Amino acid sequence: MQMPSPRQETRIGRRLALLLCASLALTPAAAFGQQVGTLVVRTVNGQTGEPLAGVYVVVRNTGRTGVTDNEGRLVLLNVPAGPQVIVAQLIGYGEARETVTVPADNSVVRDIRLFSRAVELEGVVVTGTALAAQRREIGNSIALITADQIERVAAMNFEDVLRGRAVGLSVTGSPGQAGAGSDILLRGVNSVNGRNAPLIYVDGVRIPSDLPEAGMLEAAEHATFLGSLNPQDIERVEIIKGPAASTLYGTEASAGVIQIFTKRGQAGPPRWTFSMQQGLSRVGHVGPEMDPTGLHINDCTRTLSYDTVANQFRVEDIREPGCPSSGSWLRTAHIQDYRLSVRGGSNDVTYYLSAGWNRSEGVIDPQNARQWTLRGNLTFNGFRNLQISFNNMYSRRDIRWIPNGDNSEGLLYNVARGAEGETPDNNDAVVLNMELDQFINHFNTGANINWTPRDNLRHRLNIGLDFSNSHFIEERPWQYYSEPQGTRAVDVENRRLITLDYAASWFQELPADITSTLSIGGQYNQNEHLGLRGDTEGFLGPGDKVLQNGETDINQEDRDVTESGGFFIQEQIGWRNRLFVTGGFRADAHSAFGNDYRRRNIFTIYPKLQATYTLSDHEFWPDWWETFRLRAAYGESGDPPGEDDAITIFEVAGADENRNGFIMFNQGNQEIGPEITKEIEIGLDASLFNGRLVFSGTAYRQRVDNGRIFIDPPPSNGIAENIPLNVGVWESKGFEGALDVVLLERDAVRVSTNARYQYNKTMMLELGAKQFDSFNYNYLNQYRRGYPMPSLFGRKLLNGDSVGVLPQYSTEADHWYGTTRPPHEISLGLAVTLFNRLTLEAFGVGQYGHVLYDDLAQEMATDGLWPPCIPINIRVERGDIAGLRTRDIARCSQDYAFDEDWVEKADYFRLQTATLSYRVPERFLPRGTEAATLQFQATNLFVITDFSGLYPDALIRPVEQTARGAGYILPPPRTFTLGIRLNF
Amino acid sequence: MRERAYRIDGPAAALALALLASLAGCADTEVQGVIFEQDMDEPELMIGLARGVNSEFADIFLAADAQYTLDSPTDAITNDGTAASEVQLAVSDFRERPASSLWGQAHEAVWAALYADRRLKEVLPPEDYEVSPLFARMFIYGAHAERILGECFCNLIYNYGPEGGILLGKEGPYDGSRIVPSDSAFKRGIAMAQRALAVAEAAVAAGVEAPEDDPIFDPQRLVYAAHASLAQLYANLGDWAQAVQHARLVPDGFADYSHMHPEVDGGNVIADLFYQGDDLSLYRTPAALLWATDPRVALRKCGDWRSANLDDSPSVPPSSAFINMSAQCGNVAGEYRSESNRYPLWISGKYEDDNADVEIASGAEMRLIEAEAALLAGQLGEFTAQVNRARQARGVAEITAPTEIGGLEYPNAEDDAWSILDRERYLELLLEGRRFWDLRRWNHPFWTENHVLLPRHADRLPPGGRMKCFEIPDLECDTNASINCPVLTSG
Repeated sequence: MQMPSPRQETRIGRRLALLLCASLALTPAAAFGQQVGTLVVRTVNGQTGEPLAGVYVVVRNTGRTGVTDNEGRLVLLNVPAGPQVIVAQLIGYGEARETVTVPADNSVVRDIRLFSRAVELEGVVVTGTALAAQRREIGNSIALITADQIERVAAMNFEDVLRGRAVGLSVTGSPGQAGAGSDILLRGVNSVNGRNAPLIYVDGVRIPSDLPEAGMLEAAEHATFLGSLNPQDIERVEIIKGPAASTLYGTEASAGVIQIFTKRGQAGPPRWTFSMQQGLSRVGHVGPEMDPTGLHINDCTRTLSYDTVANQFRVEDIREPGCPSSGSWLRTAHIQDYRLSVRGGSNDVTYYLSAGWNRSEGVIDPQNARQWTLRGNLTFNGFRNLQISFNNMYSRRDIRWIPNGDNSEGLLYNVARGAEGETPDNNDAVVLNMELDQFINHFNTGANINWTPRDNLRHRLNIGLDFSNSHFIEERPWQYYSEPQGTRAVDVENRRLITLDYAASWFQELPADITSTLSIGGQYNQNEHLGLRGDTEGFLGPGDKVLQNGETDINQEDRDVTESGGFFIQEQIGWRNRLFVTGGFRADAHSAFGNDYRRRNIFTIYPKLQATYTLSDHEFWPDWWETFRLRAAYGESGDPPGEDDAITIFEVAGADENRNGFIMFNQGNQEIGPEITKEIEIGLDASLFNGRLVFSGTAYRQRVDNGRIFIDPPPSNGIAENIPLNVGVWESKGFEGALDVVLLERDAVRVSTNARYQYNKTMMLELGAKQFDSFNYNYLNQYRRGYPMPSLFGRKLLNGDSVGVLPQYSTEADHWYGTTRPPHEISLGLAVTLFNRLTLEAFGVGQYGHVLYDDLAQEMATDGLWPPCIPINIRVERGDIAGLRTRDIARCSQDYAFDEDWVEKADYFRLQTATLSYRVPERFLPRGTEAATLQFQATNLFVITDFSGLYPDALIRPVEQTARGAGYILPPPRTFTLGIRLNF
Repeated sequence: MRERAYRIDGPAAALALALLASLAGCADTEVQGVIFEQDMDEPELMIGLARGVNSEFADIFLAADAQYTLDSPTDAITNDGTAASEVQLAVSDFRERPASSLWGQAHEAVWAALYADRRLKEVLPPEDYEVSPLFARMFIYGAHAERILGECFCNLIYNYGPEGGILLGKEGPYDGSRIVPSDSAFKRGIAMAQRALAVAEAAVAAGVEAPEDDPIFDPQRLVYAAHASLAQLYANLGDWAQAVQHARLVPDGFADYSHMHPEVDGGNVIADLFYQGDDLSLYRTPAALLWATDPRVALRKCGDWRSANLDDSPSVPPSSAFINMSAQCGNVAGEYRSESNRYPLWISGKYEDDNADVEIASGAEMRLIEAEAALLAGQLGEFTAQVNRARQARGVAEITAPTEIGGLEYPNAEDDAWSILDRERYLELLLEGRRFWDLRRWNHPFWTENHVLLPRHADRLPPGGRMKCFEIPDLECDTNASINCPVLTSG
């Protein structure tokens, strides 16, 4: 057998160590009479100075390896004396190399700093693979976000943690209310009527991807289940973005998979981490800059009016009724966050326990969000060849929303309209009497069992339960202005997701340096949903209410259960650990499939084929270019029908003289099957100059040929209800690139930058029925054949650039204004570390190439209230249009101001976070404290955009997730937080 | 030891996989709170399905506004709604392909009957199925739905084949591209009514009682209803011998109804628009102008001119030009003028509220079918006898026999047999959505001469004159990939 080269040795060793959790190997070097010493390695985060546990350390050419404990320490005995090269590796961090001279019969201590890396090319991942696998074995791209990256993000919500950190991932919407979440799409719009949210797993247990019940109503913003997680508990996040990678997940995975792994204990004494953050948040100027009152949101003590005689604006000291005593609807809101965790254990049992509490005031009183999180992870290693982990999480969130959005009881709606709002006597404070409370209890528990009866045979079993219980209460109290006797609606929703996931892998070495890994597995998922809603109205007096206090009760109950599951078989052939070819399939069943479809397809088959070749392992490859890998992947995965799609349902209808009959309510399609997405992707990974330049790029193409479209059947068929058919066709193309560059690395200075770019264009090719010239969605979003999806269409303004001429429009509303989903997204990061103590980081994100409809501005212009439009509108009313640009007339005149006149390019770039962290010198630390880091963070400091609406990413987000519009949503606040993080 | 590990691992893996695969294979969706198709598997539940067909059929009148849609283009009612679509309807301008709802609901009623029959066949014991009043009731409704389709549409499409619906279409021949003339609906209606008649007669012979004592399922009444439906359909096809044969078997006092159900908003649309709105009126109709005293008209004047008739006034008359007599109409809104404020509001007391049932067949109508057959045969004596039986059934005084057959004219001259028949059918079927077909089949001068009830509608007639039937509606054209609807430019 050929001996591995040093490069191979490193990687093979890494593989063995990381895959099989190899423990310290004791090579009896001393037995051969060689002089030896002891090497003590301490691994620390180069930016925060915190000890790094789980770092794999190799003393090159000695066979001495090990993994650091929970204090970042590793003691290597019997290391050959003399100069030795130490290599330290940890997923998410750049490889670190140090040369140290090991004294004979003595010991030496060496600190090794590792710096987090935005682009990861090596290491072990488990998402999309049968069991844990090296990246070099995988033909698809996979994005990784590490704990270090997460801990340094000042995020309003968990989605902000992900925003811009992984190529292919789009986060839609920057919420303005505390506790609100955003929406996630991977590689663009995946489905017209199906799920666009990726599958989400936490420690192998599925959690809901959609929204808690009723989260989108009066508040116009919503919480997400991802928000239950404490970001500080997360070890890493793996993201696979399309069917080429998600084939093994089967029918529900065409929108990609996000897998979140929480921290585990490390052997060693208890190591505590305490972090605390105190901060402030505030929204800047709202609305057009020329309005000093900020649509009365910023300043409600003055009123902007237009003097039609002098033809100029005038700001008068007229206080809006209901204006808060501070003179502004906005406040400087207080943010506080406390988290405590401990990890440790013995060689047999390790633990990670954490608790967290935070409270964020919203920028408008009384909006606020509070959250408790508890986590307990236990890992048992004491069994032979068996590792069992139990992971448990409980979270409770209490969110007090304020009514907002495009509704007559929304605060922004009424305040921005001034005296023209819907509130009595323009007292907009009355809408805040509406109580919008949401409580979300979320419990997640699971067991991961890994059994390795032989070195080449592994089994994994994940069993998990995710249970959530959410309440949404909407109460108009007694004597509420629009409902004097009050109303109350209570939505209670329970969800239970059960995950069973088994996989086994058998590794064999074959002749000619060929390896074989045969994997099999099976999964079962059950999703039980219970929804109860009660509505009442007509209270008899004041006070806290329950449903029975009202005069009228309307009760609604929803119960449903769906099940899915299947199995996979996969074979991977490797050659010299360089070339890997993987083929396999997933066979799947789902309870939502139609009976006829199931009869014809007992299992739906999703094939996959991948290849990857690490060229840089060849001897001829230059040393300065340490990694170059080509990869390609093809795969399919699906999206299931809706739970009612295949079910024929009858309802009770009035017949003669109050006698009831049964009539068809929903005609199920027994032929309905999954929407299958086929994807091919090719990519390359490269690392040069000892990891100082790392690049990863992927191009992909997806196609859906059997998209689920609801077709209105011809009435002559006799059925009026629409029917889901697998007839839609759409196609997506894209590119993703990530670059990580260390610009300067000296003892005292380290400067690194990273950049990500992604492009996605999803085209609607066929809507599948004669009736569909287009397919309308919310906020003017449409799907049309031959156009990106979704897009905005309308009549075209024919003479927009004219002057002094009234607008003329095309007859047909078929002018394409653009897609509402940004085809281009970028993120840029810069980190500067000085003297190994002070780190300045800046991170910005941008979206380009899309348009948005500005609902707020258009509606206010229609009412003659949008400040920049008022003079123009008045001139048009007078017939004085000389010198006015036609486009401005179209936007501003109440005679026009059509929807399409307020479709605008919504490109933006914003500084998402700026962080300054300082590692306190050890000599200043109290006894028992190992490390302390002070951190000052700011978010949303500025945005660069030409969009004239409130904020280009403060979006109205329908539940469908794919449609987007702007307006009536508060811009995300700027936050400034000061935090301290202690390790002891 | 290693070998042993292998032997254990293999079966363990296979077992785990098999378990998971079997779980997946048995995957099931449970939705509570709804009625599944398979839930309707008990004979006693079948009456619910039959009533569902009743409900779907009533939707032709309720949701699809059959009376409104079909009477507005005729002289049976004055549509003074101000919307453009209402004027278009009043002048038979069907270029925008209205009546989508009527088309859809009528097809759905037929399909519902066909679907329910399939369930009946599956659930009822064969001996009960053969004598099931439920079946007879459903198929009579289906026959009437077919008749309505044939009476108002120029062409039809039979996508649903002999079994109907996408759900069932695969069980029988399916020809989605087949555009057929409207009389094919009468043939299909006859087929349904004949099956209903056979089962109803068998039920009578077997002594079957009406399920749940509901008179709409009374076998003997169903026999009459089937005969009445057949008489209408054969008459529509011009087979007068068959029409008379069936009409004779229907007693004078019999009536079959579309039973309105109060849960549906709107209810009886004519009553609704009389009492809740003022779009429709009897003003300027022959019923009001010529036969106001006939009890079948039951004219109620909610308002009238104070002095001179200002019908032709170029401007809207002032309210002072009207006498408010709305208290006599029980009109809570106090309306005494039409929608456009141009004319007095006159209504009929035929429907007292918006849940009033609408007759779809009656003994009186049967007599008029017999009268028409006699007239076509030149038998004026028989003609007069049948007309008088029809009038007696409604409590109206007898007429003397006409001396000549005459012809149709407009306004109706009342002195010859055709004028009498025209008048009697007009009055007997008033506000039931039936006048449309008579005008169409008789090529009535009201249409051929492009008469309008309201003077201001005269210049709104379509360029080619009044259109005589509804074209296949947009909804069908937009959704049916197998047809190409012609572009309509005029009548």
